[in-house]
Amino acid sequence: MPCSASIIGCSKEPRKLRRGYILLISILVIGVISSAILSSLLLLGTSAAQVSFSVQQSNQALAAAQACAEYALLKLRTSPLYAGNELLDMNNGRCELLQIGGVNNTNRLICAEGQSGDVLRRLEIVVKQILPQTTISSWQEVASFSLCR
Amino acid sequence: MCVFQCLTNHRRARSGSLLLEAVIAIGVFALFLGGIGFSLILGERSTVAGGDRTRAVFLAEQQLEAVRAMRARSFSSLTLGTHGLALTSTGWTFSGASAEENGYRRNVDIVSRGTDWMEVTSNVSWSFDLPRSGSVSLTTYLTNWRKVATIGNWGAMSRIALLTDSGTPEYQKIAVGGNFAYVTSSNALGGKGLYIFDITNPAAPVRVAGSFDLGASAYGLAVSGERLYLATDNPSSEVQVYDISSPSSLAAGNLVNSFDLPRSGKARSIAVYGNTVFVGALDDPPSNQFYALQMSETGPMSLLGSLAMSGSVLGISLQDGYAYAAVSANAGEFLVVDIYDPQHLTFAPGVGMDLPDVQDGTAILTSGTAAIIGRMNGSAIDELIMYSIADAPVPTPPPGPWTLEVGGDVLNLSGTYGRYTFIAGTADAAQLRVIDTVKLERNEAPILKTYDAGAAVNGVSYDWQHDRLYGVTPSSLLVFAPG
Repeated sequence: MPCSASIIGCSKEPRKLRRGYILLISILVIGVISSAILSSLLLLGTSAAQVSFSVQQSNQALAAAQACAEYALLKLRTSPLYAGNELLDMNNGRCELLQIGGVNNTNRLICAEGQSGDVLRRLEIVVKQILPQTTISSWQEVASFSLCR
Repeated sequence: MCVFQCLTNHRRARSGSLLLEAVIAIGVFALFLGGIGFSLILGERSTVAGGDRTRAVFLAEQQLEAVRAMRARSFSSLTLGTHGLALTSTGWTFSGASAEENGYRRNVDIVSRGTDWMEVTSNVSWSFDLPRSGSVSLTTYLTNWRKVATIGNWGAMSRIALLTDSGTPEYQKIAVGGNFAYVTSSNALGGKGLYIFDITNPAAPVRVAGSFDLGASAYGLAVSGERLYLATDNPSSEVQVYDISSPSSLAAGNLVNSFDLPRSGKARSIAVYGNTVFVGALDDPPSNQFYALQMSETGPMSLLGSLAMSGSVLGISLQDGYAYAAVSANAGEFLVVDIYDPQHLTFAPGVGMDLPDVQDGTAILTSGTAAIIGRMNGSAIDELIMYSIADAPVPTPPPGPWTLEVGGDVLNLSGTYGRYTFIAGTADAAQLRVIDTVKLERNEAPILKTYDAGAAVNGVSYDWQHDRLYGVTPSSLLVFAPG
């Protein structure tokens, strides 16, 4: 009796082969899922590190912008001619003052931009009067400057 | 037979495959398990490390805010050195060289960068175990911009310097910027148009840039940064802007920009806000009398907008998005312009005030919540009028107005920040007066001091940085100090 004609011996092979495929496919599926979980975990960890670094740079940029604002307020008290247009370097960032707006003792405009890495923070300040005591009308962070050109 | 052989061959092949499969499967599984475990650990460490850093940043920010709070209480409490911080019942104070909280060690470094100027660095470091350590620093400046400046007693004003020109300069108006005073003049009798004085020592002013000649008469002027803005009668460039970064060597080459107003040589008053220049002109229909120009450092000045005022605009004062104008118009000597959008100048709601009689408005000053206008002499009017602009840009009395008989033309006004106002004019034996606007508002006797300059005081300028007053007669520069 030819082997090919054997019903008992050869008819079971496709079923076993299907079992092998199922195992292989299962391993592949589990592998893909595991890889995805693995990548996600790695990305989550990396993202957390990047976010914390961005938070650090953002705070450093804001501190730098505030430094420029404080500097400009002091300069205005000591020199009415102070015009801004100055770049200040600090240990953890740098800041730039745009041209100071207004004249004399009232309604002066200060625009300060702090930078740390690629992060920028901007402050717009309206000074109601400088002397005898400096009073501020508004001190706000902005996405882009609108008071200074 | 065939069946047996077939089964035997298959079993042999299967037993080898099973072993190999098992080894591969265990290997792959181990790899996955190891990878997942490694990723878990790495991801967890990165997340925790990120959290550590984020928390450290906020602690560093908290320290800066704490130092700011201390500065707000007293700038002198910011002592130089490295300090820890502690929160007490009275607020934040320096405590030791560092402080530790939940494993974070933190301190602030305070370094002096100049008078009233500190550099503050907030440091936070942590070391929980080997991979969980790091440091964060935030640096900013804190300055003593909150301190209150003192003003002398201008009721006891005295002259401390008099510098008389031997020629006929015909001084007009004066502005002070830093250590220099800028004086415009007529050139009708040989004046140079612009005179500059070094006032480093106010008691001994010295004229500088003596060879400079504007070649035209100049009237109103404004100093902004390192730029001097002049309103002149130059027929083709009434508005001129000079670079005054080196006033002692001012020359024609320092002209950085100019603008030719309509008609010829009509500019008389000027005010600057940022890069926008507001110019008042003599009445010469059909041209307008109030202009807004765009100053440029790289190109020519350009016209933003203009407005008709039915009279010559002889004085401009800017406050809170409005330009207050002293005008010669009989039906509106005090006009208020909304300058929020200089390209679309409009009168503020209410337009302005029609003052009694027909005397020209000649000078204007805004300070705090008051607008003070001066006028030409008139027998039936008080030449100085103060309005409240607390509620609206165009006054709606009552309260006020409050008036003062000056007894002559009011030619110029200046003031300290609030209380004292200086009136320059032509009143006999009282060409310069110091008045107390608080007393004026209370209907008490407001004149604190008069000064006989022997000639009209055409211009006056209070130097708010040094608490000094500068005035000009046609040929003299006067310097005053409070008592």
